Amino acid sequence: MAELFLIGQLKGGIGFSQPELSCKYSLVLGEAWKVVDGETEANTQVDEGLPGEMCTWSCPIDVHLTTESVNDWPKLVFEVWSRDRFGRNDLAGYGVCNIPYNVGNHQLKVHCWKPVGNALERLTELFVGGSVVLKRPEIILNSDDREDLVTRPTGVIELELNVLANGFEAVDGIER
Amino acid sequence: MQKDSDAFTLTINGSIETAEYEDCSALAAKLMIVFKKDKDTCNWEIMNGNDQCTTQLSHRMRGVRVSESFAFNQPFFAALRGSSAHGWPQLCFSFMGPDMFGRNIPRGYAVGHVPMFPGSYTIELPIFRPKATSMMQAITSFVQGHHTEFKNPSHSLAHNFGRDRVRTKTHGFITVNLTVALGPG
Repeated sequence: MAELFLIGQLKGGIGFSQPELSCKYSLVLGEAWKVVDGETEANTQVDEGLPGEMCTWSCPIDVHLTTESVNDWPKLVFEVWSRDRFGRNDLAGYGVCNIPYNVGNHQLKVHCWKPVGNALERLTELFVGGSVVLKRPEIILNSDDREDLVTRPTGVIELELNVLANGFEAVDGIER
Repeated sequence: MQKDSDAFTLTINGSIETAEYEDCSALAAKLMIVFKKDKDTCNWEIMNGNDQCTTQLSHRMRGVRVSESFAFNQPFFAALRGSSAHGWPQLCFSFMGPDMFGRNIPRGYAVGHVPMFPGSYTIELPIFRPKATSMMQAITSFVQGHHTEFKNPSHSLAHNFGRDRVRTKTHGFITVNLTVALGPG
């Protein structure tokens, strides 16, 4: 049985056009993985950043995992939501991030995107608000299925992750 | 790399150096080192030093990135013993300072993990402050001097649940210098 510690912080988002943003993240695990301790998903607060700077989430990530296989290595999936001045929440971007295999401190950046609708939907978004969202969010994770999707970039999520591993010498499929 | 079953010590020698914060005439910071304790799977305890420290009240100077900057230069030291990397200590800051009537009001919070690998670090953490939920509450809190704050900051900052109801605004940054050493328990 090998152990993996993921400890770090979801620092914030930068480059998004909306000022008030929150982020929902979840750690996606394969069947061979088990959570010993810690929360695998969370919602951050809605933060308004300084002009031109990062909006702050400062949301700690601290998960202790065990696994019997290195298949389905964990991934972090993000949904960024914006809040406008009328208090409406709207999608600001999707993102996914691979957890590095190697032990150490990692500063990660996730480039977020959101789907672009047809002409009418874009017009509605411009004047009324409300953006198109994915019907099947699992498409964020899948490496196939994306060829019919049209998106545009929205911003960057910054996170810091420390990876500590223990006992992976005994697990099939990886050599250290 | 830490083995789960083996205890180890973490020595932190640091100093709260400077802060930048917009629209504020004076600022003081309070540091709490927060870690997970009293669990079967992981237990951290403080061996030496303090898990809390409060800086002096610093007056402002012109800031570089935001309008005001403050210097604290407050050293702190803590030696901790942990049984697992889970629950790794976090630096939780809360800030206070006088408003225009001289009343001491909460000015915001910042949080970040203590680095997990030995070495010297300069860490910059953003300071954010909870917003009033309505315009009415904003006016009442300005008049009465009771501003929105976390009831239990170390708990709210060091965990990732229950944050989705909070609205905050980023106001500045704090810079901390740290030297971290790891040793056997």
